Amino acid sequence: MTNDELKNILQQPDAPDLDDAARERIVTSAAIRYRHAAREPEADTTWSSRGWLNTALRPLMAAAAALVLVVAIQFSLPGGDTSGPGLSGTDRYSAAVFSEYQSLFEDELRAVVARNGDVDVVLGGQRSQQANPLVIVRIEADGQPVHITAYSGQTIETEIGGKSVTLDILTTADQEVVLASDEFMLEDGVLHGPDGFAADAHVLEVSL
Amino acid sequence: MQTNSDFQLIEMAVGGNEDAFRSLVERHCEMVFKVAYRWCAVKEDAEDIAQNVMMQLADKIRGFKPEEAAFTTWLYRVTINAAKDAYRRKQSRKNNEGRYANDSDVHSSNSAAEQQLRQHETTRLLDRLPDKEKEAVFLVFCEGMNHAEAAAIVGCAESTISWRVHSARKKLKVWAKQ
Repeated sequence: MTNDELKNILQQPDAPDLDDAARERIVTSAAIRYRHAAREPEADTTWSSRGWLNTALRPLMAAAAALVLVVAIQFSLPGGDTSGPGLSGTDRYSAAVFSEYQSLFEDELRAVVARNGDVDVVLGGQRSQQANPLVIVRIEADGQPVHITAYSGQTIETEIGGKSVTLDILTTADQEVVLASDEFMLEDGVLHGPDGFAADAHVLEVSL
Repeated sequence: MQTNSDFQLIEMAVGGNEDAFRSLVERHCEMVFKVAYRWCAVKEDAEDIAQNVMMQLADKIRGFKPEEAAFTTWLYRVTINAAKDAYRRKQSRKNNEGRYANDSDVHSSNSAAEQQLRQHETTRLLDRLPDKEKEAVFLVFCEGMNHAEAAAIVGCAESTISWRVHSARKKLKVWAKQ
């Protein structure tokens, strides 16, 4: 087979142009990420199940980094009162990122989903219920963590463990979080679901 | 801002200039999207890959070292890797769901269906190749690079690219006859 024959087989039609809405989404998401990139790696270590924290000295480094992170974010959060008492560095980061997107998309924002360094913004279809508590959800399937920040009362579709999952995020009168999906259920802090699944969730004591 | 070179924008972005970073993203997101589209043949997937790549750029721009790689070479490498990851995730999802979502996309009746079908067939042919051979063939024949340029993006010797293209060509010759 000659190069020309191979080129002929692999000849591709032109790719379509990137439309304006997609371009805006890409640029805006990247800009938000850029703004937070300097402090995210420290938060990521508490989110992920990476093994590097297990070595002898790294827990001390992580503790020092977390302390720096909390102090840094305390003084640099944009907009909103995301400085509630007792918040972990991860919660502060999640609240700050959610607040950024909320300022852009207002009532359209339903959830911010983070996985593998990607951030998906779930928009539209159902008004954000800002009177409800803001909830942080962490779900792990086959070692792959997914982090969701959303107001309770939302139903969102997202990918967990390679499958599309419809997830209801609810809170009880006692501010306990209930997660319900076809795959698993988290209620009273107990997870009912298949092997390889782990989930925890809590209300974020903060107003945006 | 438009007249600044990539290098100048990177320098400013490394220094914390968000406008410079946005300009860099705006300048290159079309190219990233098109490379991703040619790899995966699905517009929505290509948009997601482009977003993923630009997120990675946001994470890594402050540590970018121009002396180690040209910016566009680096961007190509990240795009190809992101496209490969997205493809693997999609395959995993397809296996879980027991169906091929792409097929329904392709068979949908719209004005671009024929073009999409052709793109899909090309992608399917490439998909039969081992990852590294697919990557080499994609860069050389779909992106029109010479072996040295492809080697810089993949991070291997030029002769390795030549060998992978040779090996892929033999396989494609057999499959094309089927």
